[in-house]
Amino acid sequence: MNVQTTTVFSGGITNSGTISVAGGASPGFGRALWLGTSSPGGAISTFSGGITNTGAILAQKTGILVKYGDTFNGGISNSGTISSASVAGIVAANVTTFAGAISNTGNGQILTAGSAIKISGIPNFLGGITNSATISAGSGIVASSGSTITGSIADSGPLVATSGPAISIDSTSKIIGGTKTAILINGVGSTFTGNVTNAGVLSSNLAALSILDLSTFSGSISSSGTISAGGTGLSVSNVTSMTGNVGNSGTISAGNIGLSVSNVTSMTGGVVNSGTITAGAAGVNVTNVNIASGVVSNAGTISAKTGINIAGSSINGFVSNFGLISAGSGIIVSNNSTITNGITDTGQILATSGPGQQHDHQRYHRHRPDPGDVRSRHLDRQDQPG
Amino acid sequence: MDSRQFQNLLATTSVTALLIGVAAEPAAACYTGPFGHTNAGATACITVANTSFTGNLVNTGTISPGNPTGILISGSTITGAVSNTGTISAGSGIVIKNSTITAQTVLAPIGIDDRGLLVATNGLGISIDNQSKVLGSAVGVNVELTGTFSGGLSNSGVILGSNQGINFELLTLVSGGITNSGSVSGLFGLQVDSVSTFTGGITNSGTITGASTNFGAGASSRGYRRLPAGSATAARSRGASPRA
Repeated sequence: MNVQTTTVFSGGITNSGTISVAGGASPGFGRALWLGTSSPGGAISTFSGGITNTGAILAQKTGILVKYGDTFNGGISNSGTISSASVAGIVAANVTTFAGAISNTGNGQILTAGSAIKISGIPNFLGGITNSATISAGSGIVASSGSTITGSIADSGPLVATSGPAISIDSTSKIIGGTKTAILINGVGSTFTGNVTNAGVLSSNLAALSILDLSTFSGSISSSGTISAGGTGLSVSNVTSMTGNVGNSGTISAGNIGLSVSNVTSMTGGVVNSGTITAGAAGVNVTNVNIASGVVSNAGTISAKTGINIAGSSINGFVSNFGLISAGSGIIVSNNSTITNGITDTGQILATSGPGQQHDHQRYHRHRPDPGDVRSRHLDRQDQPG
Repeated sequence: MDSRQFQNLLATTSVTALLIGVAAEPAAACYTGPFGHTNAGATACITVANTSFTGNLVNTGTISPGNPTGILISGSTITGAVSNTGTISAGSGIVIKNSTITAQTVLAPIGIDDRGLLVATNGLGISIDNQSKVLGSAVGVNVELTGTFSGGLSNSGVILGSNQGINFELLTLVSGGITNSGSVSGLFGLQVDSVSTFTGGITNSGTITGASTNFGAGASSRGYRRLPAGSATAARSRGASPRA
């Protein structure tokens, strides 16, 4: 089905039956429900009423493609099946203002070897992206090419990305969460497979990127972009099994914790900062986490109340600072934590408050404890010479 | 007769008079054959009922006000096309019931081809029921160059075209939307192209299938050459490919 070169389209598109399309040699084919064309001249200037699918949309390339246009009102809602063999399940691209959410809910399933949901070149995406159903795709949810989402990406359903990122924000894109968490992965008992990558901007009055209440998370979480949060910048919490690193190589500015991993029963992977964290509480927090294999390290810059806080955790690896920690307390290890290979500091730790606070060179210290078990060790100015 | 009986009589008489007044307007007579047929003048409606013929049914004139349908095809088999390049203004525009239209020749490749003015005053613009089929070698149902198309399209039968099953193209206003609960198939199963204003949306509870395996060799409805108005034997012939 194709609608193109139309000034005003109202009433939306509703499918409770089956829309299917086979492939073809031309790039223009294989799209089951296609609004617009391959060039701006084929746009629908104003589309209203949204797209609702409760049936089946079966495509060789893309299930639903919205490309080019000034305004798209009403969003895209799927509670049926969208299946595509190659490119994508849902794509919205090059629309000036997209008002309305893209959602996959209820009994919905998006099955594709490409991207499940992709937005590209949408400077005003108002409404967010929600998945509470099933996504099994090469890549999960992708925002790219200068897209700005005002709202959030929220996933509470099983999401499996088999060959690409589960959630990806490229360097030209933004999520402005406001009163919502910019990226929220929250599903009790759900499985999430694939990486979460941010190279753009995430901002929120709350946490900017939060992953919580999962049974299994398989994949890395990394930000090389900018995170600005009123609460915690990047948070992982209440996960039974996690495989993959949590890392920041960009910039995090957080009112609370910069990068936090807590209540993870079993984790294989490290917690690594190589970027810049400015936080109201801890820069890096690891609480009640059992890291079976991995490290907690800083190779970047942390400015916070506490540089690295480790509490009630077991780390079969080491804790290290290769960068600069400028904090009230440098590294705090507490509540019966175990660090198998000790703490290494080859960088700089600047303790800016506490006993003996002084503004001299002694505030900088290098600490190289003996390798080995460190239990409940509180490393701050109280432990340092001078 | 007391006063109450008299009042009742007056009331009954008045109602009867009113009913007689309404019934005094006879339904407009429809053209009922023979077919194929071209209407170049004015007629109230065209009815094709329980018949089979080879040839086209063409309107280049005016069909109004309908009875209440402009063109009603029921219980019939047409090997040829239904074409409007004139005006249809009726309660419903074109209604297909329990019928098959097969337009699969080079000269008549579109099952229902509306290029005129079709205004449905209180019904559907085009309606195809679940016992009917509209088969075009190029396009099943085509609405194009009409300016205004009102009343929408409803299909619960079978529409087939090698290019488009349903095609709405080069129109100023389409109101009433498109509803499918049947089967539509074509290279593009359903296409809306170059419409200024389309209202009523598209609702599918049936099956819409795009083959799209032969795009390079396919042809667009835009590329079809419409034969001279009034021809009851041909509509358009093949032309170029659609844009990607």
